[in-house]
Amino acid sequence: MRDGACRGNDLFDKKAALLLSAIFCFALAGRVHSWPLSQLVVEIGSGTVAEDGLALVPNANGQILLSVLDHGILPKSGQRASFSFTGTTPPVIYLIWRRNDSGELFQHGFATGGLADSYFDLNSIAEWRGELQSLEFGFLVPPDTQVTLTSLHIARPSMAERFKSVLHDWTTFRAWVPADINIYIGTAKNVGPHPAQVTGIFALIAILVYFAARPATFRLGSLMLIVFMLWVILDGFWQWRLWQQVSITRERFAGLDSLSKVVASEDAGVARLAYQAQEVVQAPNARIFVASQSDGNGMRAAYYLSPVNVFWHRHGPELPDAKYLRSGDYILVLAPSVIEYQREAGRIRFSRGDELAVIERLSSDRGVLLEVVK
Amino acid sequence: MMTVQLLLALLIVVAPAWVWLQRLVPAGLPARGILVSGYSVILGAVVIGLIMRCLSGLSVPFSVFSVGAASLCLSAAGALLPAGWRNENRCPFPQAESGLSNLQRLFVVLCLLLLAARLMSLGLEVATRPVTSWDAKQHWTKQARVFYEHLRVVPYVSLQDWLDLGGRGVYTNMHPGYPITAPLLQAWIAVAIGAWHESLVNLPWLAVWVAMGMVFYSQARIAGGSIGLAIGATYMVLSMPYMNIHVALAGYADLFMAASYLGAVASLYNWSRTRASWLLYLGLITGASCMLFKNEGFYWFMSLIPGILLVLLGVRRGLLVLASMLLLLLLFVALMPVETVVAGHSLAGLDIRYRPESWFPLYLSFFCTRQQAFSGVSGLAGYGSSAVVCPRGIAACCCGDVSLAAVSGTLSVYQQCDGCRIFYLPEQSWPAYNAGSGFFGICCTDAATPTGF
Repeated sequence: MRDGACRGNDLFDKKAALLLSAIFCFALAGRVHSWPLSQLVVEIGSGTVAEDGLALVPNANGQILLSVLDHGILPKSGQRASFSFTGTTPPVIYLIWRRNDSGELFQHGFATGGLADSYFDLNSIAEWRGELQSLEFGFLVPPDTQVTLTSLHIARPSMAERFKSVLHDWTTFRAWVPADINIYIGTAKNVGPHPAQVTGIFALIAILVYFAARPATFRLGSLMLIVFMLWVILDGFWQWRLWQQVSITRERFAGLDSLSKVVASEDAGVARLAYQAQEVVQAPNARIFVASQSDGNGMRAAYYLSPVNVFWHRHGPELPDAKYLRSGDYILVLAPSVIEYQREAGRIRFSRGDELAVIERLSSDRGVLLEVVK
Repeated sequence: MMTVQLLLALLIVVAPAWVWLQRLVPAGLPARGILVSGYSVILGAVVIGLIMRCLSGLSVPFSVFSVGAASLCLSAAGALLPAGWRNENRCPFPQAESGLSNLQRLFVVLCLLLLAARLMSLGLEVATRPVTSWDAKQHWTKQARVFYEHLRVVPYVSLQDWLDLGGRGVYTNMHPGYPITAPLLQAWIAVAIGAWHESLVNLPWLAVWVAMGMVFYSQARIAGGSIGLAIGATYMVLSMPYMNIHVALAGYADLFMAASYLGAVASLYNWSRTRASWLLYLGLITGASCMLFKNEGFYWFMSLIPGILLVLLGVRRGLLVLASMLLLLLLFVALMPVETVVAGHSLAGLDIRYRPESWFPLYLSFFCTRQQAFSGVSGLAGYGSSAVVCPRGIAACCCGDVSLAAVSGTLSVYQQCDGCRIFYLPEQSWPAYNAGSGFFGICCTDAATPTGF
């Protein structure tokens, strides 16, 4: 039995060595193409080459556009666009290109999630092919924000780079957003391989190795211990992210009272308007109709208006037919909205053409509270 | 002061269920105190919701005194019932060896430390973060705020009904037909501390997470698992990220339903092995509780029926009866009007048709994103090993769970709403399924490993 186990281990060692060699050879074979910063021309905004990279200042609209001088770019499958920034990272990066075989201009935007080192696999873009006539990169940032680009390249990543980026993805922290309750991916970007998949494969391999080694006494507990240890490693990534999140949450909300927490949250703008509206609306049986094209703003306003009796129709018309509104009702119109408010005339016009006489009770850059006086 | 108020709120929630469970659960069980405490939190959440509804029906406003008095009466009734009612059955369950080697002790301490760290991180997050998640603001917590401010349950109607009634005496939201147990729990916390607090109203989610661990651990022990095995498996269940996120970004009712379903599945599993009637009662009560948290709880409760029938009737007769029931069900579904609403859903609303583009999101959902692939794999492995170890009992009890998973998975391909959402049953209830399947696997594997680890 012992000999059998040794033979199994030897066999495994040889197979593992072969596998590692194959991975190493494949990694060496990976080709890297890149464009240095000196080949970039600032088309919109302004830029100066500094020690740490290309310092870019947007125009008054917060736009920066860079073009690449190299016209021999050949889009290929498996390429990846990589960007590194110091300081502010643009939330979205646009890739804009024109192909030789078509006069059409193509554009594709990528969310960076605010990460200093961001990359995007171009596999999924059907128009990324042929030969490029022009290639530009667009950044949209708040005006007066300086962006320092330290590296930019489009290349087919090597295995080593892929491994590095996967590890980077697994270990990079991104603060939670409300939508995170619907999904847990275990990576900073929603691209595979996911930690759970990889750990699952490792568990399977470990179990197969255990059986291949033919242990003298079979113990199911040993297998479970393998699975448990891998689980702890997998959980380590999640535990680390959770503590990072706790740290951010504590920094932002700890020590604040209930109301101050809302004001410190991402809902502050809408919540303030809702609280102000509550102060204006004094009648105990008042009704407020929340009108907005934005699901998020409508939902937040309806929540922070509670316990006032609120009507908000998600995905529906912003307001019900005019016949349902009566004098003394309130309408909280939040941007963006298709409700046309004629301030001078004291009227609102619905998208369906109905009109109502209103009095403005409150106004802010987020929206306006109107009282119906029909 | 606030800590005392919160502890009092918890005591009022837990006490009635705890007193009654003390009568129901026989003495001499391994981890009996943990079992009673865990189930008390889950069932207590249901009971407090029912108490608050009754008070509203009697026009008694919510307060610490009114809710506390009702809770006290229920507790007293349980304590003062004639002793003959008490379940005096001694424990018929096999006991795993209780002595631990140094290595096992180290393992237990490691698991407890990991769990303590998780409890601390989740506790800090819940107690600090204001209400964040979408559905909480859109539905559950918004309703809780209204209940708290009015100190009673107020009726919710559909948008059109609200317009027709002019909003007089009624409120509206996008899902007025959902059960109100979760909002009532939040309202109760606010009543107990005397103010609305954006963070503290979410504490019940942390409590139910702890309760899930207690239920899982104690039922694993009753199933014959060693201390080390039970605590290791409990850590694995409680550390599932998707479940943790539902605690940290509290506000969805799914976790309560998951806890109820876990309580039911675990109880019925042990009942299938021992036929102890109290386990059947416990399983049915917690299973039925699913319906008080979400409309979809009806389907989850129904999923328990096949397993129960198989245990009661035996595999051959049970399968025959189940096949007949399935035929009748299909006939009923085919003949009923498509607008008929069952537990909040109708065939017309589901728009069931084949959607081949759903296969990949379904794969991602099952193995990559919404849960740890690991728990899915370990659950499946658990079922596999259980089939070898105790084919009849486990196969019967697992039947409902596995068949529901298969049916809901298949339906996902027919009902997916868009590119990222899948059928609501697995989406909203994977934590329960995960925990249930993991539990089966762990218990059965333990039975095959007499020495534990």
